[in-house]
Formats: sequence, C-alpha cells, structure tokens
Amino acid sequence: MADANPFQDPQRFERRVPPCAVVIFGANGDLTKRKLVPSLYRLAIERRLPQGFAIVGTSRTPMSDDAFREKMEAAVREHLENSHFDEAVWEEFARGLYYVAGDLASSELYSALTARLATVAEERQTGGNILFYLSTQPSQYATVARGLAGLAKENGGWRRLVVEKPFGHDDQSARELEVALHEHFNEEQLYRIDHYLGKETVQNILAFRFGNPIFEPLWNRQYIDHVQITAAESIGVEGRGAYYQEAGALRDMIQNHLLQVLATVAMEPSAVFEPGAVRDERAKLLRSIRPLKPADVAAHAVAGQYGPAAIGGKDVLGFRGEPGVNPQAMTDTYAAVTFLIDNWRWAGVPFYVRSGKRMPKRVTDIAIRFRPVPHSLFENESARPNLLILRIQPEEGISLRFSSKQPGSGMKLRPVSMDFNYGTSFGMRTPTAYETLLVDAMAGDPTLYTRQDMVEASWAAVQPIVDAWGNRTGPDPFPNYAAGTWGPAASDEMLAARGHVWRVP
Amino acid sequence: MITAVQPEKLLKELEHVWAELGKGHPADALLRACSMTLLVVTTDPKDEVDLKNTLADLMRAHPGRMIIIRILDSPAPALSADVTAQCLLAFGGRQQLCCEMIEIRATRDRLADVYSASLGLTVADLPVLLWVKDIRLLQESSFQPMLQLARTLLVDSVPLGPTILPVLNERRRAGWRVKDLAWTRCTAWRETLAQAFESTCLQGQIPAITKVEIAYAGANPSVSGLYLRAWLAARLPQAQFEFVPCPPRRNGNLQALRFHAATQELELRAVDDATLEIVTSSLTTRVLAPARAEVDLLEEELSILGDDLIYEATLADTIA
Repeated sequence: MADANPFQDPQRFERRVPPCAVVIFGANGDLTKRKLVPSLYRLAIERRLPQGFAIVGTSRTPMSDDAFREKMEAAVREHLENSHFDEAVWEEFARGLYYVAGDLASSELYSALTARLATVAEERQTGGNILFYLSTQPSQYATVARGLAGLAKENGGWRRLVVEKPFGHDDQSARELEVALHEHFNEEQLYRIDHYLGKETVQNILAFRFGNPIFEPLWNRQYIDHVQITAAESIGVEGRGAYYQEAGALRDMIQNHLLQVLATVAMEPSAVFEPGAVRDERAKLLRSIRPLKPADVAAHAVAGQYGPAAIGGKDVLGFRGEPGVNPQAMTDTYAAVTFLIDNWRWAGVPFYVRSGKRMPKRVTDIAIRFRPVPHSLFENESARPNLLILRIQPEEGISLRFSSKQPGSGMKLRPVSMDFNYGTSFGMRTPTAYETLLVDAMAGDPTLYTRQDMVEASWAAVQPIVDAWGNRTGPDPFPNYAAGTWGPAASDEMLAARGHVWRVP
Repeated sequence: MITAVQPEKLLKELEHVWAELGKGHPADALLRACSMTLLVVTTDPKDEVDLKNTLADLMRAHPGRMIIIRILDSPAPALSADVTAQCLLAFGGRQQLCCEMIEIRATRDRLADVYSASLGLTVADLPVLLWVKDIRLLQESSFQPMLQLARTLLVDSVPLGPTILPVLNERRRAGWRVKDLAWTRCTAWRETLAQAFESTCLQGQIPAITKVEIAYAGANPSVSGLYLRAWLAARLPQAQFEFVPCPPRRNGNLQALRFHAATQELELRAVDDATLEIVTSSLTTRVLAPARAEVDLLEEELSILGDDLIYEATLADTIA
C-alpha cells in the first residue's frame, strides 16, 4: 500500500494510518477512559486518523451506541491531556463509535461482534482492517484470543492484536500466554504494548545514542564504570493494593519497563531503523543479561516494602495498612537488581536498576557513570568522575557533569553540570505514549512493541529472583524501609559491595 | 541603541540581556537552546509587535537567534541596531522560554553594512535561514548581496502572485533551498487527500481519474492553487485539469478539489473556515483544518531540514 498512494509526502505528513476499526475489549474500564479513547480523539484533532475509521467498544455492561458515546465524551473531556476539547471534531469522531455488550467467555459476544464489524466496515469504509485491543484483566487475554478465532482470519483486511502488560506473571505463564495468543494470531499480528517505549523520552535515548557519534566510542566497558537506572514514585498503591500485592515492583516495573529501558541504553546500533532490526538488537541485549544462580540472588537483588511514616507532617500508611492489602503481604514495593551483561561491550559493567513506591520524589532517570581519570594530575583532587544523566521524567533532558576549575588562585576542581532541558528547549506539545503507540499499531509498525523473544528474555533475567523471593524462609523481613525514603539499607549495601553508591536523583 | 552596527557590541549586549533576565529566576528557568539563525528582512514599519510575537512563538519548536533586518525608507542614510528578548511559557510548563532577537534598522544604501554585520552575528556552526517578508526585495539589485547570507530562502509568494515564481525557481536552480508559504498552505488539502487515498478501494480508482476540478474563490487561482494543480498533474498524468470559480466557503482562494473517474467521484471541499469535508459515493467525513497562522506555516517549513524534493519538483512544474 505504501507505494500505491502517490499523494503521500513523508517529509511533511505524519505517519499514515490506513482505514481501520479499533475493537476495544474492556471498553468500560479505566485504561479505555483515561488513555485509549482520549488518545484516539487527540489523533483525530491532529488529522491523523483515516477517513474510514471506527471504534467498537465491548464489555459486559449493556449499553447502547449513544450511551457509549456519551460515556466516552465525558471521559475525553476529563482526561484529555494538554489539549482543548473541540465539539466539531468530537461530533465527527463520535459518529464512528459503536458498542457491543457481552461476556468475554461467551461465543455470542463474538458472533455479535462479527455481525457488527461487518456493518461498521460498510458504514465507515474501514476496508475490513481490524485492530483488537485487549484492555481487560490479564487473566482474560487467552479467553479473548480464543474467542477471536473466527475474526482473526485476514479475509480482505489485516488483523492485529494489541496486548497490554503484564505478559504473564512468570516465565511459565508467559509461555502459556504465548501459546494461547498464537493459536489464532501469528507473531507479526501481535503487538505487546509497553508504554514506556512509546514515551518521547525513551525514544530520545535512541536519538541521543545513534545520532551523536561522539558518545559511541565511550559507550562501553572501557570508559563506563557502571549504570544506574531509577524509577521512583512518591505515591503508594493508590487504591490498586489488591492488584499490586500480586505484582510487586520487580514484576510491575523491572521485568518489563526498566529492562526495556536498559536494553535501549545498552543495545548495539541496528543497521537500519526498521522494526525487525531494532527489535533484534533489543532482544539480543536482553538475551545477554547474565541469568542469576539461586545462590547469587541475595547479592544481586534486594526487595523492600515500605512501612508507615510521617512525610512532611502527614502520616502515611505502610503498604500492609493500605486498603485491600493483606496485612501479611510479602510484596516488594521496592526492588533493586544488579544486572550484568555478558557481551564484549559491557562485560564487567554493573547495571543497577531500582524501582520503588513511596520514595522521596517521582523521578525516572538513567545515570551513566564514567570511570575516573587514570592518574590524578591535580593536588587535593575534588573532581568526581563524569556523569551523564538521561532524565526521562518529570523534567526530560540530558545533563553532563564534568570538572571545572574553581575560580581563583590555585588549581582546585569542582563538578559542574551542563543541562539540556527538552521541555524548555522545545516548548511544543509532544504526543503521549499511547498516541504514538496506537498510530504505530494501526500503521503496522511494531518497532516500539515488545516481541515474544524479548518477553521471554526479560523473564529469564528476573525469574531466578522471583523464585528466590517466592521461596523465602526465615523471619519476616518487611517492612524494611520507611515511606518517603530511598529504600532499604540492603540496597545501599548491594552497591557498596562493588564500591559504588546510589546517587540521589 | 547602537548607532553603528558592531557585532561584538551587540553580542555583549545580548549577554547582558540574558544576565538581567536570569535575575530572580531559578537556575533553569531561562535555559536557552539554539538550533539556527533566522534572518528576517522586512520593510513594514508597522509589524514590530506582530513580528516579534511570531518569532517568539516560533522559538517553541525552533529555538534560535532571530535577527530582524528592518529596511527603512528614510531619505537620510541610517543604520542602527539593538537587542531584546521575548519570553513566553513553555507548553504545559512553568518555565520561561526566551527568544533572543537582534534588530538592525537600515536604509537601502546601507545594506552592504547590514550584510557584513550580519556575518558576525550568526550563530557559529548552525544553519542560517533567510526569511524575506517583503518578496519584492528579491527583484531589487541592492538586495542581491543579502541573499548570500543563507542558502535557505523563505518567502510567501502570495502578495506578488505567480510572477515571482520564476525568480524563486532561478534561486532553486542556483542551489538555494527555497521555501514558499503559499505551498505550505496546501498541506492541509494535500494531507487530507493523501489520507483519503489510503483506502485501497480509492487507490484502485487513481488510474481511472480523468478530470480534476480545482474550485477557487476570487478573481484568479492563487499561487497555492497553481502549485496544487502542478502537484496533482504530476501524479495524475492522464487527467485533465480545470480551474472553476465558486462562491467562498472559507477564507482563502482554494475551495474544493473534485476528482472524476468512470465509476466513482471524490470531492474534498471546504465546509467553513475550520473544516474540510471528504465526500465519496458511500461516505462523507469531516476533518478539522483551521486556517493556519503564519507561525504555523513557518514551523512546518523549518521542520524540513533537508531538500524538499516534492516542492522543488512542483515549483519547476508550476512555471513550466
């Protein structure tokens, strides 16, 4: 199709989206209201949706098309980010909204959906192309994928299936999910979404690394001492206690988001910026992560759980006191892992990855710590090694710390920071991760989506830790850090064992 | 105010402006980035506020040093310059985004001085672009040396109409990157059309399109209309083209494009100032396409960093 449309102008027009229908399972859920429909509406404002476009929502709740439209309008008005609501665009957008109620386990739903999609294809000229989006409970993924057996066949139009994380709760369940998804969809049709990869900031890592050759010669074990990746949240579980106590920081953040970030930082450049090539390099890197032996887990991974504390004069509950959380829950609300990468570029360079809730502030960044000078030239050396910080949120940017002469007599060095702030350098709106990823899925570009071999490699990297923490014996270790602090002491000790310290972001 | 234009003095003044702006702000509140030098040549004595606001807005996507060259009609030779900064809030943020501006005022007989001073004021190692707001200057011999300041030339051909296109094409052939806002105004039409033809069903009709009507309001088709015809003709060589006058539905000259094929018709038409409508035999849809401010057009052009082969070919075809 790419060459058949002579009116395209890739330098000026945004990525093309072919006519299609988006079918959302879990259309009455939070993700649909907060992210999916507002993002699609935002794309409509930007004229990025095709002429032939429709959304078909499904969930158990009986509802008419008009009631669904009203509900979605309220959701868009409430959750539209950094944008105004335009009545005329909504009117046009809402005409393409449809709804089918039913039980995900019932064949009647899929029959009704098939009939409705045929009508929609006619009414909206969607060309028979369908993007299915699973915004349901993960436990229902396999059920829906099987239910779609009839609809998955590409009769005159393409079919794609977007799956939200988690992709399994361990390596075994990830493989089981793969088998279920692959019953009716092949790998090219599957789009496993990790919204971290859709963030402009994470994509900017690729631009920084592979668009600026001055850093490439330094990007290896010879010059880099270690890497720290931090994803800290200041909030607690915020009403998601029941879900979170089954997941924990290791599964919820490190196994997927942060390992993808690590892979982006450490991967080899691909020959071309094409989906297969980029994903091959990410997958290769993930497969190079050294799997931990059970006996090594304690020295390479630390679990934490926050206890109650007073933050800024306000009492904050401990995790076990949060609503919906088992008072004996052994969930890790903090996890820190030392990953080692067994390849020529990174051998011996530790990648410290940590994520936690109820930390002192919300911050996600990557700190590349370079090796110190090989020989100190100046007396009373106070210069510290160079540090390159790739800030992902909240203030996206890049900082380089280097040494400068302190003004005055003598030769004293002091560290100074040179900052590039993305937000103040470019004062324009950037698309949200979901806008980027939805366009990619509709356009058939899986570059920023996770592939099954990447999922399996990520699980292989963390599964020994999951197993070790699941088989814990001895006294209850939790809580082991107070809310509002940077995590348990054991995490500091993990780095100290290699002569390193966590930086304070 | 500087009575003679000395680049070193102006740059020192600029540093002073930044130091003053930074007082009382957090360290990162006025962070400036730079991606280019944009030289803007104007002869309009009344556009001071509007022009500076446009340039400050442009800074959001294209941070850089803006040098305004204001050509005066004063009878006595004159040359002066000063520096200012225009600040605004970054999108969705609290931080100030400041745009540095140098304004040089000169009579035509001092353009040689302006040229030499400008050479010392452009930011090192970054692209230099020349936006000639008064397109008549391109035909003046005293202005020709100024064109050597940049290899990218931005204009809006609308005020002079098609008569200026050969001049632009000459520049293009001489190696300049030419950008015309009259072409940029076609983007909403072209993009909507391209989206419509993403449908495989419509793509199949492309070889069967025998006639295209371009409906316009006003006395004659505008440069944008001429560009569109040339662009479409290159893609539909089998079709006949016709300009058709019609009542205005939206501001601007262009009102509709009608494609006639044996079994199907498609019309892309203006509904009002903010909306375009695509009509086929089976479906009518609307898209938001409000008239774009000058700054939006500039922003689009500055986003194209390399050669714009589609426009270059269209420019050549338009005057052919």
